[in-house]
Formats: sequence, structure tokens, C-alpha cells
Amino acid sequence: MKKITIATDWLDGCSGCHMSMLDMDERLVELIKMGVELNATPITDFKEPTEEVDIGILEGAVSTNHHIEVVKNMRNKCKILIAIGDCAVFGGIVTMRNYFSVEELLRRGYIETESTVDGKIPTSPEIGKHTKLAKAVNQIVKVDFYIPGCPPRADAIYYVLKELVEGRKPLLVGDLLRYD
Amino acid sequence: MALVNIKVNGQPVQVEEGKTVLEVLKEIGIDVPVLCYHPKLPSIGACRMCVVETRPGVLQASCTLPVSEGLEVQTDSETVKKARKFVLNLIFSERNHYCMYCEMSGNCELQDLGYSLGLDHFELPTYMTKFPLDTTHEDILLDHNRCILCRRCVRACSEIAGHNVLGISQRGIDSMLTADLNVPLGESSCVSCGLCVQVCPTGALTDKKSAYLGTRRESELVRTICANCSVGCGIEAYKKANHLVQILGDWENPINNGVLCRLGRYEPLSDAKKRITQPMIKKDGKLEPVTWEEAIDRVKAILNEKETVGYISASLPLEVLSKFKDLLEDNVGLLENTSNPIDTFGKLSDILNSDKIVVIGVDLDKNFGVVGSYVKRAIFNSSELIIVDDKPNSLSKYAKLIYQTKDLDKAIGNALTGNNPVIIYSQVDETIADSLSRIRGKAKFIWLAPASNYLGAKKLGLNGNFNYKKNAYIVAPYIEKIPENLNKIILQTSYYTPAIEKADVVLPSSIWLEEEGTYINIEGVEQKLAKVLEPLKGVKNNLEILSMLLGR
Repeated sequence: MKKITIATDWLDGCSGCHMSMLDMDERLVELIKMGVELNATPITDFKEPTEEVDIGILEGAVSTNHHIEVVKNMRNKCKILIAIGDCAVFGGIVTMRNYFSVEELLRRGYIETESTVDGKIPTSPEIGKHTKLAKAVNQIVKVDFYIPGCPPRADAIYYVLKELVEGRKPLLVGDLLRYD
Repeated sequence: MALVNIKVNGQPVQVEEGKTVLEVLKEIGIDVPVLCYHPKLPSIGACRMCVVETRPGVLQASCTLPVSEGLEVQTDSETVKKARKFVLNLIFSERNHYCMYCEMSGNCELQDLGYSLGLDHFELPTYMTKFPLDTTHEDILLDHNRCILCRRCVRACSEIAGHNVLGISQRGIDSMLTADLNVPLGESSCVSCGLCVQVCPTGALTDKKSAYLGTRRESELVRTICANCSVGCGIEAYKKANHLVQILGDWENPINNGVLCRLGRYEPLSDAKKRITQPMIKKDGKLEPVTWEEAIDRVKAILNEKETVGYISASLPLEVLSKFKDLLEDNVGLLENTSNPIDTFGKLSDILNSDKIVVIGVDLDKNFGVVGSYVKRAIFNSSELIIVDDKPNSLSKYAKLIYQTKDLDKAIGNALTGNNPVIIYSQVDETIADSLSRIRGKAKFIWLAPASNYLGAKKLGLNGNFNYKKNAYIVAPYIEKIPENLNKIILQTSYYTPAIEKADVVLPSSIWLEEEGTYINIEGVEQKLAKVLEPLKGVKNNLEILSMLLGR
């Protein structure tokens, strides 16, 4: 049986799309039985693809210089790149911050929130720096397939992966194509 | 109607001349995506969503293209499909069309098109400008970020409702939906008819009171009439879990043709008046809650004294009015009784065909919005408006002449010089009755009767003639004043008011949304009121209460 390797990662997102992936439930096992092997995901030990993979999956909008690196790395290491969820596909809810400057955003988030006492904006060099605008993944690299939805339905993710594993081109129609 | 020969996707079709390509395509069952087009609005061909290919590479908007002999259209060619998707991408790239935080998600025509055209990502970068959110209006939320500038609202406001509040300012990318001369919607001349919301394809114009109650598609639709006033407009009531979600105007009802007023569209959703939900009997001078059985027995005991006169509101269905007459052996008076010398009434559509309109003592924008709408449309058809009012009147700015009530006869005299005069009036005092009685048959009369089923009540013979008795049984959903000099009072009503304290027995009855029955409107048209909601717990509908009394 041919092995099909998949790596996933999240950017500026809420992890809801990964939850939807887990929502495939026993169909995950079905995919694994069909030869799918998870290489690196935020829910496994490897945080980035250790080798070239067949399918790369990205959740979340591109919002920091760190995300840009992750996106480019994933693009280089996968043959097929899928953007899942409204943030990765369209920019989504994350783009609400595009109406404000990065300074306003950080001040609001770390200092001015009602529950914050003596807050300060983190400056560690290990943390990514916000880009001026949050963007969809396809504004940074070429994306091969899109699964919109907030979050995308587990059915839609399963359908796309199954089609790819079986060597067909997925096309989302009907209830599988949703923006909310 | 002459027929012309056209070809649709290579197939010859004979169609009626004078129709648009879009109309014809819809008739023969070809699905064409539309966005700025609305079947009840004049087409402007603005969005280009409905394009068809008439010659290789030539795209024309089918909503404005008339059919003509020899016309050939392709509705599904690659060029057409590519163009439609491109147009959709352009629309999505302007302003903010992120569904995940939009209240109208699941009820949005733009979203539907995204789904049906398979738009799984944006091909163009989005335009990241923040547009204003106008929250100033009491009933309507205007979010410019969701606006696609299709101008449906503008056309509905001006050409269907006749109010001319909305317009588009600026050009191109700077185009903005604007109320009056660019004032916030809440400070504009808007009369809150809400037709703009009804036609908005996206989440740009939404009903505040319907927000977050659920989408129309998840709700149950009841097509009925509004029983708030005597015009009797057709409404579409959406409900979910026995709660109102939204009210829209019924496009198919010839009385209002989709148009409503604030009272019809928003009042039922904003009703915060306290409902009575249990029967009460006066004990030691105070109303105390009792069971239905106890209350009914008490009412029966009072009725058995044979000393009871009935007063009923003409806002109730014919069936209720008639049963109440039976119960009190015809000794029933109308709470809203008015004497009116005119007994033949015109249709609201007569207003549109008039050349002179006299409006006597009523502010149509404030009290009979749909009639105001007719009058404004007639004025744009060059009919002359004459207002007779001693108070300031919202329609004054449209009036050719304004008279004081003392000059009523002059106003009527002027109107009668027209070929098709229409006289609109509401309250009838002696002066008005006297003037009107002299011009019977010389004009079309629109009488804005004081209660929603007033003409129905008159048909049943209800009026002010009844024999005085010492006890009274009063049936009215809302009671402000109770007649004087009564001994025992039975009150069948829906809302708490200071007046109910005078009652000896209070029977909680349903409101019109919970009732069903027959109404006769100001034109004399008989319509069915359908039950939208189940009565609140503890409340019974009027007919059921009367049946309980007649049954025992």
C-alpha cells in the first residue's frame, strides 16, 4: 500500500479547524487504513514536517513574520497545499484587525482589555512580529485546494482527503461548501 | 401579445414580446443568478450577475435586455460562467463580506451565490477599508461594510414605498448609500416602513428587533394579515419556538403590495406591554388570581342577572364579534363607535389614479403609513395633494395646498374640480360629517376606520345602539377607559392597564397574532387572519372564552 504523508500546522487561527479534523472520528482511522500517515501536526510530537510530504494543510490567517516562514516552509515541503477554514482561505475573522494599526492592536490586546492589570506588550525575540495586514494563505504562496468554513465541516475535510488519497480532484459542492 | 422567436442555448423558443430575457429564462426554467434584480423592483442592470452571451464574447445583462426577434442567448457558456464568477469575485473583494461574523449568514443572497457558483476562495485581494456602521435608527441597522451597492433599497424606498429617503452619493469606489442629504438614518426623513430591509440581499440593512432570533430560513412562515389597523395589509410572519422572528410585507397582497408601516412591521416585535396571563376576580377591592373555572363561574353568575350590556372592540375577528352578540342577545355596543355619513368606499389603488387628493385631519406617515405611501406615489404621478389639518402634518411638504379645518369646504370644492378626486379621512366630527354628506358619490372616499375590523362590525349591525344595563361585559385587547356608571364589570382583555383595576372579573385573552378569523378592511375586502403564535400560557383566545360561556 502506498503511503500518503500529511503534515498540518496552524497560523493565526483558533484551532477550530483542527478540531474539525478530529471530528472526522473513525473516518480518521479509515484514512490511516487507506495509507495516510500523519507526519507533523500541532497535535503530534513533530511540529514541522520532517521530510517532504504529499499533503500540507494550513489553518489560520497569515498574521506575523513567523507565519510567513511556516507557510513558505510548508509550501516547500508539500506537493499539495490545502488551506482549511475561513482564515486560511479568505483571511476570515482575523482580518478584523486590519482596520487597526499593529500598535493599536497590541495595546488593546495586552494593556487595555478590561481584565488586564499592569499589562505589557511582550517583546521576546522568539515571538513573531505582526505584519501590517492579516492575509489569506494564497496571498503568500500558491494554494492548491481550499476548504472554507468556520470551522469547515469534518465531512468536507474527509471528502477532500479521500478524493486526494484516491487520486481524484476534489470539488466542494452543496453542504460541503460553507462560509460559516 | 405578439410573439417573437428567440434561441436559448441553441433551442428555438417562442416568447412574448415586451418581456426581458431574464423573465423569459425564468419562465422556461433556466436558473440565472441575480443580485441587484428583484422581481418587484424596476431593473437597473447594475451588478452584471445575470449576464448572458448574445454573440460570441458579447455579454448583456438579461434583467434589462428585452427579447427581440432572432435574439440568440447562451446562458451557460464558458464565457458566461467565467464572467459571473469574476463579477462575484469583484463584489466579494469590495468591503467586508466575511460571513462568519455576519448576522445574515444563512439568509444572504450574496452567500447563496458564492455557494452556487462554487466560490471556494477569493481570487482578488479584499479591500480593507472600514466603512461606518449606522446604528442611529430605532428599528433598522445600516452596516455599510456589508453593502454591495445594488440599489435595491433605493428603488424600494423611492419607487415602491414612495418615501424617497435613500439614495447613492458619490461615484465609483466612493459610492455610498445615503439617507436624505447624508444624515444618519435615525435623523433622516425615514418613516420606518422597513421595505429597504425586506429587499436587501446582504446584511447591510437588517431589522434590529429580529437580530439573533434566527434566520428566516430556519423559521416557520405564516402568511396572514396585520390587524393593527383597518388597512389590513398582508404580512409574512416568521416564527420560531412560538416567538416572532420577523415580519415582512406580503408582495402578493394587492392591498399593500409588500409595503408596510412601522406599526405593522416592527410594533409586534417591540411589544413590551405587560400581558395578563391568569384570570382574576376582585376580592376585598383587589384583583386576585383565580382558576379559569372560578372566573367563568363568576362571569356566568353575573350574566345570569340579565342585567349586562356588552361592549366590544371592532379590532376583533367577525367570528368573535358575532359570538359575543349571541352571548349577550344582541345588546352589544362598539367601543370605537363613530357615525360616518359615507357608506361606499374606494380602493387604495384609486389614490394612484387620482388627480386630486384631500387628506383631512390625519398624519398618514405617522398613523397609516401604507396609505401615506400610496399618496406619495400618486404625487409622483403628478396628483395634487390638499391637506386639511390644524396640526403640523408630515405630508405638508408634498402638499399643493394646506387648509385649516374651518376651510374644509374650500378644500373639498377645490378637489371636486379634478376628474378623479380622492378624499381620505379618519376621525369624523360633526363638521366633517356635514361636509362629506353633501358630496356623496362625487369623489372616491377612503375612510381610515378607527379599528381593524370596523367595517366587519358594521356589517354585523354593531353600532352605538344598545340598552343601558347596570353591568357590563367588555371585550378589547387593550382597554384604556372603561365606561362610567356601571355596577359589575367583566373585562376580557390582553394587557395590564390602569383601567383593568375597575373590573370585577378579568379574563386574559389572546392578541391578534394568536387569533384567527375574518376581517373586513377599509376597502370592504374580506380577509382571513391566520394564527401566527399559540396563546401565551394561561391565556385563551377570545372565541374559546365565549364558547365556554355559551356552552355552560
